[in-house]
Amino acid sequence: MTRGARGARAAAGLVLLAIACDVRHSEPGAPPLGRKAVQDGLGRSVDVPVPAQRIASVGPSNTEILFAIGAGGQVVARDDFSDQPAEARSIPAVGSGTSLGLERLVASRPDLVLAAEIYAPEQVRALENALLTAFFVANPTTFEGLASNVGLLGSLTGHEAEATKLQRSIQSRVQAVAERVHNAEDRPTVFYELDATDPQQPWTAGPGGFINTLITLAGGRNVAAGDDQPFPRWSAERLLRENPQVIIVGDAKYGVTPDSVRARAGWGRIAAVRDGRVHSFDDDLVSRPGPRLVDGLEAMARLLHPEAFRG
Amino acid sequence: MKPLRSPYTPCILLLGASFLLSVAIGAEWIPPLRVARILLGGPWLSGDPGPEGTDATIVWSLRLPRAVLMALVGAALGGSGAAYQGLLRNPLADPYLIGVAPGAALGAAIAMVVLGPASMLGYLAVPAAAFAGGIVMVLAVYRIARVGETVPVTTLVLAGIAVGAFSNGLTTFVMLLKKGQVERLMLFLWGGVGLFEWGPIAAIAPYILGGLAVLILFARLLDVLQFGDEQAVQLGLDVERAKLLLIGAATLVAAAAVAFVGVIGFVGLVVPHVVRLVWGAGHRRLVPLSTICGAALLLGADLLQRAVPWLSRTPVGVVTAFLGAPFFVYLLRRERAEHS
Repeated sequence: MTRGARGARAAAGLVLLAIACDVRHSEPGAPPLGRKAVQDGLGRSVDVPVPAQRIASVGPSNTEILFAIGAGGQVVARDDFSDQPAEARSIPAVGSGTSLGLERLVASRPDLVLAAEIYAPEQVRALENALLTAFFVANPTTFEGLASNVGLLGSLTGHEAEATKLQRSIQSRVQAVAERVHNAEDRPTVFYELDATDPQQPWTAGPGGFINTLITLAGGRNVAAGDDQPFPRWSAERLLRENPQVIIVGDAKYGVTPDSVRARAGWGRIAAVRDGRVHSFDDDLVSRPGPRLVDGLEAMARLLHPEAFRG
Repeated sequence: MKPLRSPYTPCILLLGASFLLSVAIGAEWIPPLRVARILLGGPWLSGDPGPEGTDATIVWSLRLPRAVLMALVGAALGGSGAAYQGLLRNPLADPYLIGVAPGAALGAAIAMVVLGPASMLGYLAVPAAAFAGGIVMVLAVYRIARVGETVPVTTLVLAGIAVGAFSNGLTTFVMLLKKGQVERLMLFLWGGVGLFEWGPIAAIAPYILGGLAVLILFARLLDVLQFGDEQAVQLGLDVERAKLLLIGAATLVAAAAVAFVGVIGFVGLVVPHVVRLVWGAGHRRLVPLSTICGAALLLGADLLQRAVPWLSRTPVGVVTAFLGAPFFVYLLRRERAEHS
């Protein structure tokens, strides 16, 4: 995805910039030491306070990263989607999506608004029109991109050391999964179901996104990897022909279960259904590009290669 | 155009052809000869472990129930559309435009959000709730649009828009109460949430077939009603009872069509018009022929949706809107030309 690549480049540029500026550390809670220009995920140069002390985090991925690097205490407002970790829920919520409450956001007097890519550039502009400092964090599509986002948020908040620690932990856990599935003989074919409101035409994850990356790293082959769209809609007819060995039910939170998948007309013929390899999955672990992506990778790897995790 | 001699033969042939094409053509290519072999061989071919069995499953479990449901719904929309046009003595009446379909969608949406669509209780409750919503809204439109004894085009369209927008607003509200329903909602409002399985088909088939039987058997009442209420009374007809019977039957049919497939517009408008142009305006022919041709048209629209790659994300109601909206404009213009 070009936006992800751009974000990764922007983040890498920022790390260089941070080194060049030699930002001094500060105690959380102390007033910012100053301001500096940092390039955000929309390619704009944003004049941010260093470090930010009152952060409004709109987007669950950013919120989860902030808490994971010990910057949760600097978060004064969040969007409704930011419900993890549990501590985040005590922070005042200001709406979400298109009903983001701009007035409540302003009233929380943030010195920095961190917007995730689930919010549109137009919404970032609306934040700036309200005289807020808005910083757009692009979605990563690889674990390297995730690590650079972690580093970016670390330097914006003055938690560089914790960010580096988190980056190392992500890297070593990804490495550990890679080693476990490396020796697996088969790489099962996987269908990731995003939404089967119409079970004859379910939506799935094609190439270019994190779901595809996770399936590959977990030792599987995404049957939709060769599609020409990032989120294609498949026909059940095609699914029957492709006959995937594993079906991951990413729409489990909307009430879909392995049993309801089995009960769909014609699906009983698919290898995954016959072999009992239809698994419910917590979609939050793959749809929020935050630190829990590694949990998602480990969960996926256990489903695809249970033999590699025995003992 | 001069009425053709035997109108039923071409219509039934058209329906048969579109049904066979619907089963033969889909997202995946299966050679026609193999489709024929699978159809003749019976549903147990699906047990075959090889690729032949996969194709049999595609035909028997995916395509056939979909084709049957589409044929039922198309028949319901065409037949009830013809009945509404006769009842209201207004050529622009159609289940979508006069509030029945939006009202039924509202009822069905409430039942679905409360019960979940694919439960046993849901199979009974969703069509019932759809019927309740449909009858409330069509009576509202009728009351608002009626001027003296007739229902003029302009007031009918305006009342239909107002009531339809109100219903759709409520449906949106109800659907969004439940998280993560936006996709389902969009599809439902455009006729895309097909539960293409035998359960929903069994749930709505009795209402559709029963209601259509009533409409076809009593179609001559529609002919009498064309003279106006006063004349009809003089001809010995109990006008109020006749209207109640026909509105009830037509609404039952249209609401059942909406219950599991969502709102599909324009079929009920276009089909009776084409039939009238080709085979004349007598309702004893118009109602059954619109039923058959409605089934054929919706099968055709659904076939387009499934077989044309760039329509794969589009609900079938959008396809019928593409086909039907220009036709609607043409009718409005002609109506205006006649009045000036």
